[in-house]
Amino acid sequence: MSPFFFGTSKRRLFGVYHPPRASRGGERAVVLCAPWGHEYIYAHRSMARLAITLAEAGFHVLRFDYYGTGDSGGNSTDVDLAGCRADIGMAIDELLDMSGAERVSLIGLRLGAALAVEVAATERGRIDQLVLWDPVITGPEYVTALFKAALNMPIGLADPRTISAARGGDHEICGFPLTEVQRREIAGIDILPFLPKLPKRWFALVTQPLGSHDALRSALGGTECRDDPHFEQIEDCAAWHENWPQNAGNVPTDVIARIGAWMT
Amino acid sequence: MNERQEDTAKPPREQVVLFGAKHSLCGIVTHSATKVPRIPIVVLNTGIIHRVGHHRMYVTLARRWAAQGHPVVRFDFGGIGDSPVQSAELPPLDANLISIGEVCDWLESNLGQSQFVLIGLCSGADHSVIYAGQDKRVAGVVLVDPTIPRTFQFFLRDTIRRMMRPVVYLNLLTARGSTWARLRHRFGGHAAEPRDGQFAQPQLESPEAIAFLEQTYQKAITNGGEMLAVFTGGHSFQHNYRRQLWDALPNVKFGKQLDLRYFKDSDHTFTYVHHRERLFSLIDDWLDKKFPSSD
Repeated sequence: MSPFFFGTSKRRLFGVYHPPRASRGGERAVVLCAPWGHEYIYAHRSMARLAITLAEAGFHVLRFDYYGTGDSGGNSTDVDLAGCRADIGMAIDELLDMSGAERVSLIGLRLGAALAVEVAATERGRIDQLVLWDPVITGPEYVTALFKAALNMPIGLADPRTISAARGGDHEICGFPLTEVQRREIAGIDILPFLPKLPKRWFALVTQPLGSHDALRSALGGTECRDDPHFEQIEDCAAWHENWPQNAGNVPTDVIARIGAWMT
Repeated sequence: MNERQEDTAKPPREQVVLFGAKHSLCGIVTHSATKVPRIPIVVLNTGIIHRVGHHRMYVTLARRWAAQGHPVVRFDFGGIGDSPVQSAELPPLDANLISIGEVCDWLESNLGQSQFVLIGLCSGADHSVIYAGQDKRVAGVVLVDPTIPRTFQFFLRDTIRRMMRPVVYLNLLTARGSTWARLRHRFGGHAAEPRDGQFAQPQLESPEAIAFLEQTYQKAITNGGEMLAVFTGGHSFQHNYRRQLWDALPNVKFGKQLDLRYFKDSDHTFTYVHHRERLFSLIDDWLDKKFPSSD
């Protein structure tokens, strides 16, 4: 495992490269696309475990932090979706360069999945496979979930999710500032129009039922292949949600094993 | 400077370092922005959260302190974040104390500094004070919600607080709540045993635990370390008033080295931005007072 900074001097990104620990008879590479905010914090352990699992299965794996998140440069308020997609592009460049592979697979969790969908749809030539893990499907549903999570934090304090107009009128979601501009941008997410443009081999793996799953199933229409379905629900904990202290630190091992099996 | 104003500042110089004998403790060094560096700061993990901290708090802090002249290290203990387990034989606490020493050694070798400040929240605070007692290079510790014994005054305040809650009387009248659940479990045959509190809370009120903690804190103080201890209302099951540390460890001679604060309205991880800004300002002032710039 090699942690390092990459990107440009103005947009420095932190990444962790996991070299393959087994031979697959050809270079195969995977970029992991993280969720945002508190979901990123809780999911870090699971994303690291997934990277190790895939490296043990023979993949070159790169997980990284978008600009304004984790150890990367920038502030939380600098995060924007176009920038995150550009960061995924930089991570793909970096991993192709490091691994010698010709194409990469993307695995995205929550917001990372929505970002990965757009990248995969626009860069089909470089994307091999795509895994959407508990994906954000529609922006309004996600924004509602974020505000609900902020409202239900078990910290026993009053709710200052909306900062006064004098201080910008923005929001706080479980410890992370969310500007009104960011909120509006995230609310505009809709991955369904991109589905026809995705690489042939992709699948969504979900642990928590969402209202938008019906729309996703409908969008798939008759394209589902019984042997290699695009949509699968699995009984496991949500890597990105902490119901402290009951599930603190839990890693969804069944999800990780399923992704590993699907990738290989 | 608050979290919203940082974007105008020059980006800090940050470096990935793999610390330790095995070169596998993953950390980020944020280098000082001043010509003459001030005392380095080592930030320890909070529980199992990796080195960026809750709400990315430690990234913000590291860059803030680096701008003020402090080199800052954030790193992951073995088994947390991006650091693999360091020892299959040693208990985690022992392995983690060795890791802190290895980071301090790196700072001494690479930055030429021989004194450090450790900062930690919750388990990070506990690690900080224990390590400070065994390494005289630790010139200061910032302990945020360290684990301390409960006292007579704690229980008195806790009881009064509970009695002030209407839900207590509502539960009494409607046969709900944990007391009724225990009674039902004891006398009602098949009723499930209620959970005992939120989680396995530390029980530090035994004479042995108090003696250990008194020895630990005294060693840190005797070593010459300055101490800023900040408690929040977010761990009201463990501490609930400012002077509890003094009352809980009565034999420790803290002298003027201890600066004690209590933020009743903050939660344990400083979830809200304005609570973090207040904490950051407090630590800034303490650093300026105890470890002033030599510029």
